[in-house]
Amino acid sequence: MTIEEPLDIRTDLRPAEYAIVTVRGEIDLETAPELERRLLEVAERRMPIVVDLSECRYMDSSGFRALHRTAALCRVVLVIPAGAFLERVARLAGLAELVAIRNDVAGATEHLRTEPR
Amino acid sequence: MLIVGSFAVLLLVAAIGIPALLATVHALDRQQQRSDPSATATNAALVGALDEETSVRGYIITANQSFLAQYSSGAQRVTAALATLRGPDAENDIQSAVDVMEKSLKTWRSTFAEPVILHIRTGDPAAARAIVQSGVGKSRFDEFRAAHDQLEAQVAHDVSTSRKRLRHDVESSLLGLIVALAVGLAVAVGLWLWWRVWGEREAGRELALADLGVLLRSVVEATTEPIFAKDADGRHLLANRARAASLAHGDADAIVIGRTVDDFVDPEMARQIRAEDLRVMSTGEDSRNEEILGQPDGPHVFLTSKSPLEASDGRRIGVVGVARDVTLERLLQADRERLYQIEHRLAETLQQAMLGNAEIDDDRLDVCARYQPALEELTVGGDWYDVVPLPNDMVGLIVGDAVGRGIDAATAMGQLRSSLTALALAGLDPADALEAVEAFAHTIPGARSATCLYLIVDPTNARLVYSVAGHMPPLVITPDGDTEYLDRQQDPPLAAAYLDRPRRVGTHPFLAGSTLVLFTDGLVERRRESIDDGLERLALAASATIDLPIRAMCDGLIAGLLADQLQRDDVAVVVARLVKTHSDQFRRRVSANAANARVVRHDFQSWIAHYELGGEAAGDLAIALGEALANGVEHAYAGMPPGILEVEATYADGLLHVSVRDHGAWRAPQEEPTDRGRGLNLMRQLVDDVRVRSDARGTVVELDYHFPSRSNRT
Repeated sequence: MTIEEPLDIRTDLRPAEYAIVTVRGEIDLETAPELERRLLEVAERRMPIVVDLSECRYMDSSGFRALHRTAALCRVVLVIPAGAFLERVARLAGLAELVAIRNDVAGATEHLRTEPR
Repeated sequence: MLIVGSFAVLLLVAAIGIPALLATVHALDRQQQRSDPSATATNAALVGALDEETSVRGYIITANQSFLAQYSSGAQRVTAALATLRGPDAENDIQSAVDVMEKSLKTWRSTFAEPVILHIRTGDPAAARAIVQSGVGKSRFDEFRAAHDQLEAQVAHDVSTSRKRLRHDVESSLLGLIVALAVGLAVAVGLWLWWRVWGEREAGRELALADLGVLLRSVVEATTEPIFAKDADGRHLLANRARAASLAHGDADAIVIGRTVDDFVDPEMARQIRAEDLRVMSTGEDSRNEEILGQPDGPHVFLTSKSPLEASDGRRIGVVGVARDVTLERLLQADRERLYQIEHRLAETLQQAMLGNAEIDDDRLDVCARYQPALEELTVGGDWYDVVPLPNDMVGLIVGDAVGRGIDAATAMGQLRSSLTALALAGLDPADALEAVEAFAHTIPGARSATCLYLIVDPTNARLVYSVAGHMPPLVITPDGDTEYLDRQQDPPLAAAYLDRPRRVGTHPFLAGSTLVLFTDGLVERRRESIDDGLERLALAASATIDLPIRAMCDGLIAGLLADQLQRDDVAVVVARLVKTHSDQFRRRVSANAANARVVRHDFQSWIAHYELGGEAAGDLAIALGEALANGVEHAYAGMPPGILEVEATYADGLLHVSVRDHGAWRAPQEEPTDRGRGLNLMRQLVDDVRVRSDARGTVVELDYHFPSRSNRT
């Protein structure tokens, strides 16, 4: 009787100096618009965003496109655990040149604090 | 004068005793009439409340307003039932038990049902879900059930104590009457002897005694039940007209006094009666037995109560008895039983004749179906199943339940079953088929509100397509034992209301090795238990037996779930399993949309898992295929109604070849920085070769991937 949603996105604005957007599930052609909408919502506030992809099982170019568009508006740090297949795919998709990638949320916030743009 | 006085007392006792006995018997009838409705009302209150609860649950699942019809009618029935229980005759303890029950139901309504209904109506399902998940509904309803059980016990106790009291009254009145008659007769016999010996000397008293004898006789004669007294040799000392009629074939004027039953009844019956008389005389105990006596319209059964006739010195000198003609009661009872049995046999025959295929000859799908009738008599229900072979290796599975029991339900079931099977064979999809059957069901009274589930297993596309009309959801069990009920597409039962929208179709992946259980509510429902507990129990049992062959699994589920209780409802169960075979060819044909793209990608991931590639390579291939599919969905049909995507993957000699074909007009491949160009780029980095070919018929994206070649990739 479990209802497994393909995508679950949570936005946490509490840290004030940045936002954490946690993505669980799969980002594909159908779900990417929702991710983009949620990211742009935060980007409008002119806040840096930590996008936690630790529990993201799949992402194709429609997802990378959403991240590209967001990164054009504000600072984005991706959280991808070391060794996750997404790490390499994000690099192949050319995302590493645009945004910083860290292995955990602590590393991502540390990056925002120590390397102001 | 002493003797005359004792006669007067005797007459008084008899005159009072008989009406008292009759009055007490009437009181027993009245009590019965009063107490049975109390028990019925308790039951009605529970049934009304269950309807309320069920309809709220149906409403939560479907958000369909028509489900709530039973909610208010259930509430009205509960109120009416409680009013009956509070009637003028109710005892104080029943009053307070009724109050507790009513209060707990009100709490259930105010804390659970009404807020949930309100939230769904105002479009806030999340809030409704929060209330449902808090468990408050179940715990409040359990409190109501506990209160109901308390009340039921209270009513049962009251009924049984008052019946005991009345039974005691009747028995003592009867005993009083018999003792009075016995004493009277003993005195009469004594008087008679005295009169014979001393009669001539006491001639002056003859007239008074004769008058008393006439009086005594008229009292006994006034009774319509046969009354008699016999001496030690079985000769009648006393017999009223009813007794004469019962012995002499209806002739109330027959002479019985001084004669034995041998003169009237057949030798065997006479022997039995005599034996019983002797037993009463030798033991001194009262007895009750049946005497079968010929009457003008055939043999009648007389329930006869006998007591010893004792002389003044305590010697037993005969028997006295009262009989009652119970022939009509017995006939009615036998008729009822006979009718029950005829109807039961007929319904069972109908049911068996109308049940469908139990097995199917298909090398990809194993199917096993079982029908188990209820254990109680006359409980043949309207459950059915059917297994329908369809084109393209597909198999249709049907399970349904027509409301009610007996011939009506079995007939309605047969009509529903035949029409649905015909529609399935005609190739209608599950929702269309159910809609067509529904139109038909509106015209058959017994088919109203039948629940039904039509599900198509499509082994080629590893998918289930189904539509549910108020029926128990199908259960899917993966080879790992994970279970899921497909309960997100629940629509109302057939012909329960006029639906203002089309019935819905659900789809669900169904991979090789997965098992499916379709069933009727008898498998999971138990009295005094939430249906969710039953569903949970079935899921656990199915998960635990997933490794068994399906016939063993099917029988095991039925035996296991129904083992510890009397099976009150009939049960239909269908178990189907997709045989685990792997082919080096993977093919899918779907309409081009984003949701289908995801389903195909998931299926592809399961298929590719067979080759046991490392997680990285499997992920790469999934993304590459996802990009190719997205291309087909996004570009090929831009601005046009969605067309068809054909996906084919083959593995041979270390080479995986994938092709995704669409039939749309291809636009010139776009390079960076456009989005699709980015996708094409990504594909090229993930697999060994990517080719895009375009012609008049559409576009094919082809991917090649060499096994194992993951080490030298960047």
